[in-house]
Parts: sequence; C-alpha cells; structure tokens
Amino acid sequence: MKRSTKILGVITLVIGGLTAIAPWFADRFGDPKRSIATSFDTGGPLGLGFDYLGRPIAPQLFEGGRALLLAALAAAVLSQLVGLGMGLWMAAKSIGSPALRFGLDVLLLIPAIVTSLIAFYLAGSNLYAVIPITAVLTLPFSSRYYQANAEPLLRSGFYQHALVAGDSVAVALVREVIPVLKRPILTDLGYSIIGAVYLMATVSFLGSAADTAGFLWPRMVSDNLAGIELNPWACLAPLLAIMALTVPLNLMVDSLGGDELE
Amino acid sequence: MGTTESKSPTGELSKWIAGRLLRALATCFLASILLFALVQALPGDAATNIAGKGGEELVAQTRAKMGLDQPAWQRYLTWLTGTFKGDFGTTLVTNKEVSSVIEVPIASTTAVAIIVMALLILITVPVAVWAGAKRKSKVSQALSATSVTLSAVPEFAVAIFVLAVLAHWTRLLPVLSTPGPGNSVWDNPICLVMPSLCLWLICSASIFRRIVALIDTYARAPFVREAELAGLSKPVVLLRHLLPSAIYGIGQLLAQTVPYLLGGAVVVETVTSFPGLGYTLVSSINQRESPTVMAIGLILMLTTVVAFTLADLLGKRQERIEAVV
Repeated sequence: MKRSTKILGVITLVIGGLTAIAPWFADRFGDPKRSIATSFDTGGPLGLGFDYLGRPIAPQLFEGGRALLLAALAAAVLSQLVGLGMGLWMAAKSIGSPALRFGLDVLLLIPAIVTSLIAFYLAGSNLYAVIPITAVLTLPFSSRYYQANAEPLLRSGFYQHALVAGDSVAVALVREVIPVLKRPILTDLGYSIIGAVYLMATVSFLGSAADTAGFLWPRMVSDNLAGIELNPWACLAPLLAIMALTVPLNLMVDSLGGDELE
Repeated sequence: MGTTESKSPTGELSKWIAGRLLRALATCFLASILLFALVQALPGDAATNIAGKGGEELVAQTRAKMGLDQPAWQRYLTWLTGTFKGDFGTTLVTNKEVSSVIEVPIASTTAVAIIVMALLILITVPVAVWAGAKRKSKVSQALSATSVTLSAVPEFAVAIFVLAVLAHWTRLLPVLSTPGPGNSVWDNPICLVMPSLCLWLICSASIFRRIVALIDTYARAPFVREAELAGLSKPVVLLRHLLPSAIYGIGQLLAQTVPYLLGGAVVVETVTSFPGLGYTLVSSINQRESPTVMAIGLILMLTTVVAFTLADLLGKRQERIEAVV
C-alpha cells in the first residue's frame, strides 16, 4: 500500500472518530435546541453564529454527524454483505440468479432519489428505517460489481479444484473466492459508505422541506440556506462537515484502486 | 474496424437489440407497478392534503370525486390503458391534463440537458482525453485529483457553493433560476445558466476520471506503442490511432449520463428553483399527485432504458475493439 493511501486512511479514520465522539462535547458550546439570538445572527460559540431560529450553530454541528455516519456505515456494511452474497450467487449461475438479476434491474430503473424520498416519508420520524432502504437501493450496483469480480475467479483452477474435492458451492465460495476478493471488498465498502452518506444527506436535504425529520447536518444546510447572506456559516459549516466525511474517504478509495492497478 | 463490422451478421445484432428491447419493456412494466405501489404507500393522499381540515366526510367526498376510492389495482389499470393511448390522465387537485402540466418541465430539463451535453463534449471530453494522454504531467494529476474530490461532494453542496459564489457574493446570476410566470426558459435564458453550470460540474467530475483511465489503457496498447515507435507525432497517434478506438467507450459514458441529466437533476433543480422535470417530480410526490408522478416516472424509465441500451450497444462495440487490442 502506498504511503499516500495510508495517510489518507489515517485522515479518514481521525475525521470519522471525531465525528463519532463530537456529540459528547456539544453541550460545552451551548444548548443546540434553545433560541438565544435573532435569526442568522453572527458571532456566538466558535464564531459560527446562529441559525434561522436563533439557535447556536456550533453545538448543532458537534451533535449532528454521528447519526449520519453510523447510519451510513450500517447501510454500507449491510449492502456489502447482501451484495457480495448476491454477486457470488449470480457469478456461480446458481438457481434463481436470472430472476434475481431481473428484479435488481427493475429496482435500478426507478430513480433512486424517488424511491428513497418515498421511503423517507414512509419511515416517518424513524431515521434508522432508511438504513435497509439505502442498502437495498445500492444492491443493484454492489451485486454487479462482485459478480464481475468473481466470474474470472470461478473459472480458475483453485475454485474448480475445491468443487472436485467435494466442497459445496457455498463452502468453495467462502473458503476460496472471498479471501481473494479482500481488496475489491474494501474498495467497494469505501464507495458504498460515500454513496450512503450522499443518499441519506440528499434525502434529508430534500425531505426537510416537507418534514422535520432527517439527519441534522443536511437539515441544517436546507433550513439555513435562505440566510446564507446574513450568516454563511449556518449553511456552509454543516456542508463542509459532510464533505469532510466523504472527500478524504473518496481520495483514499481512489488511491487504493490505483494501488490495485499497479 | 469496418471490415470486422461487415463480417458480423446484421441479423445477430438485430436479434440482440430486439431481445434487449423486450427485456426493457418487461422491466419498465414491472418498475411502473413498483412505482405505483410506492406512491400509494405514501402517508396521506391528495384528498387529505386539500380537504383534510374539513373533516372526514369532506375528505371522503373529495376522494370519491378524484377516483381515489377505487381499489389500487383498478386505478393502475386505468392509468396503464390510458397511457397506452397516449393519455396520462388529469391532475388530482387542479384537474388539468398531466401532459400539459409536464410540458414546460420537459422542455426546461431538455434545454439544460442539451447545454450540459454540449459542454461535456466540447470541454470535458477533450480535456480528459488530453489528461489521459499526458497522465504523468502535474496538470493532469491535479485535474484528476480535483475530479475525485468533486465527485465525493454531494450534489446539493456543489449547487449551494455555485449559488453562493455566483448569485449571493458576486451577484453575476439571479438567485432563483425561474423564468417567471407564463414564460418558458427560452424567454429568459439566463435562468438556464446556474443549473447547467452545476450539472456540468457534477457530470464532469463523474466522467473525467473514467475517460482518463480509458485513454490511459489505450495509450499502453501495442498498436499505439507501435505507431509511436514508427515516428508518428503524439497528436497524430492520439487523433488517428487512439481516439477512434476509445470513442465508443467515451460514447458509452456520455449515454449513461443522459438518464441522470433528465431525472437525477432534482437536487440541483431544487436548490436553484429551476422548474424542471426532477423538481416537478418531487413537488408531485409531496402533493401526492400520483398521475403526474407516474407520467414523469414512466418518461424517465423509458429514457433510462433507451440510454442504457445505447450504452450497452456501444459497450459491445468497445468489447470487440478491446478483444482486438
């Protein structure tokens, strides 16, 4: 692994770790739910000012990332587990795989934002209900990716040898194929986390106009967009925070892909 | 390549296209059922939205007037038979023809899609081809890193940054990209600039890296190396040997962008208040206007199917070239 990939990995982990522990320090910067100033006032804790209801931005910023990060991680892991299983299943041309591919193609055809927005409304105030929905929506992509990666391996000697030696298809896949797919799994997991943050943030951003539920950072962006000229930080601080989660991870995954090619 | 094509039986290709179209129609049909079921599953309906305050009796009357009291399967069949005849039905609240409601959004989104596609072809593709051919140069690496960074930024973040810089801080463009009541986007073309710029940045970030990788792969191919060793200049090798082989792969990437430009632009349209197809779709979902959601959904699904079939067709051509390479 290249040195730059390792550095990016460390940056990603540090940002992820800080986002996860930040809510414990939120109350040091004020009450995120109490209005104490006029709308979009400047100054306040850390100089980030106040939101459209006059609540301080800094404690909201500290509080808002963990739920988004954990939900995205859960959705990505779930999607990878099911996607890997489905991809291997289809690569092995097992029973029902054409029907499964067809079903996934049907899902792929409906714009993801429409499906996820409807699912967001259906989930009501339960934020974590979007986890399985996000996982399902990324399945057509992850299953295709693993199918494409596994097909050449299934034609290789070591997999065939395991089958001839008496292993079942499932055992041969788990013992012989999955360990070889370690790097592609890591790469796709990274993209999957970015995709989940992206989708969940976007749905919360779009949905917040009609609902008060949603992840805090994207909702802050949406709610404070109108006051961008009065207090830009009310909108830009959560926006930069979301980018801080996705950009280093994307650079790391891209660098990891480069390592793989080399 | 021409020889390869003339040898390949046209019948086989026609069979492949027919098979793909049949599968696409079946997929569209099932996806329309799924979309209809999702819209029905939404909490509340159009009747509750407009008559909810008048009590249950008024809601029931409104529901009956809108035809929402009929079973879901019956409403789906009515919609399907109407659609086959080219009639998308009427909106639930205003009772207007759905086709007339979506006419302006279709024209607006298509206008932006054409502008973005032109920018991609005229700017992004040539720059990416150059960056792919000069992979080791600092500028090429900087452009690649920028595209990777930009592709990890959510669409609403890109749109808000562009809006903040061009509309709020420098005041070069209006904050709202709306053409005004009764006007089309062509009556007030300035409203096309902001959504086009945002979408161009987003699409460029997405395809730039892949074009660079594609060109880089071909640049290492033996026939390109041989052309270089034969003493041909780099621009000649690029234009006469490399590009003709990579053009199908680039076309495939551009074809895959079309569904996003038509249906996925909802976030950009929402931030810039541009009255496009995605914006209308989300508004219709919020208002529970199922006939409009179904009409736009079907148009987007058909466009996606056509674009992906075209992309796959170009991909097949690319595979044949890669097999030779």
